[in-house]
Amino acid sequence: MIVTKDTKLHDVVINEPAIIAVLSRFGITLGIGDKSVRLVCDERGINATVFIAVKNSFINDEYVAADVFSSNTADTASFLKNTASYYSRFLIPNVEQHFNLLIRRNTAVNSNLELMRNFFNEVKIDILDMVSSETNYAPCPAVEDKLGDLISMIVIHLSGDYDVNLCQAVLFAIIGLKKDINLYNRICCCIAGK
Amino acid sequence: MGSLNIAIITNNTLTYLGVKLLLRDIPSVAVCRIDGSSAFGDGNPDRFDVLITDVSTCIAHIDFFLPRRSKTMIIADTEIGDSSFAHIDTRWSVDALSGKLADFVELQQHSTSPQTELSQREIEVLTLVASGKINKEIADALQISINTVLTHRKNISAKLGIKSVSGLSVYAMMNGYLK
Repeated sequence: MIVTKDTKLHDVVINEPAIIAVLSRFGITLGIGDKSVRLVCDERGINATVFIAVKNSFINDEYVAADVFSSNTADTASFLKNTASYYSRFLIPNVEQHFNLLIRRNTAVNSNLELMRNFFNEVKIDILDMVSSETNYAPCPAVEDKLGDLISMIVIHLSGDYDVNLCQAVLFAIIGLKKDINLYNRICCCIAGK
Repeated sequence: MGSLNIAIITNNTLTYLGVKLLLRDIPSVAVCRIDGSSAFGDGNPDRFDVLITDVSTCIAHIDFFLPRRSKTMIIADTEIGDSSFAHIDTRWSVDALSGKLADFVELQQHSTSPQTELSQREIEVLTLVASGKINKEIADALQISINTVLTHRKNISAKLGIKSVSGLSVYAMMNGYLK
């Protein structure tokens, strides 16, 4: 779907539930009512043009909003800053907690899981490094590649004993993080004019 | 789908007979015994789709089993330290043993490993990449051109779905190519 100012915000969330993670970075929490995107943005002083561009970019990998992001630098930078904070406070700890639980709940040691958790710890440093600058928004596709590698390790190469449900939870957490970082990188590219 | 070749690799005749009995109700499998002290029979040991072995044989031939970890199941009678190998415990009930064996065999029947399996040369390249060697050093070590190294690296990444050097290192460790 393509989001416009007249789209009901709850329709966006119901069609693409993963977007909840992005909403919170604009200060919007659940219980959003029956309001349109325009009304929600007006009430909260959110730049609706940037808001819509972020939503559409998140929903559609091919969506291009380079002009919006490059001509609304302050609001875009504010979103990226909130995104950096969201990674360190929520998305990264979410993966870590699931990984820790997966390893702790295993009835025996599975060195593959430990190796993958260590690999995620390495990627975590890369992510935090990538988002650390508040002035220079540089895309880092290598981070996406590494998260893709981790997804392949779990989906294709995992062996031994493990809790299937917890392993799926780790996988979903990593896939969510990768999708979000893809959005971050694409917005950074727009700002940098790449 | 053709029959699945299962090798029970052990010196212990009772272990062999017990596992064979547990496997008898699983359709489309061919079971054969290989002496644990031998070099895994004549010919190519990779003709087997599933390897079932005891702990002592696995430890004695760890270099053989580690790269074949995904298709190996260990028979243990105590807690084993590293369960990145699938295992069964002789203290389990018959139902638990049969169930775990059947699940493992079914997994191998649906395995797509032939598409992701690396050639011997690719394993050599992977091991050197994972050790931190640059393309020139790999080319020199294997006496091949840099272009050939690049082709191997491209094929390895395509087969494994892993692009980064650190990701390849983790994969190499997971599969016993790098210790």
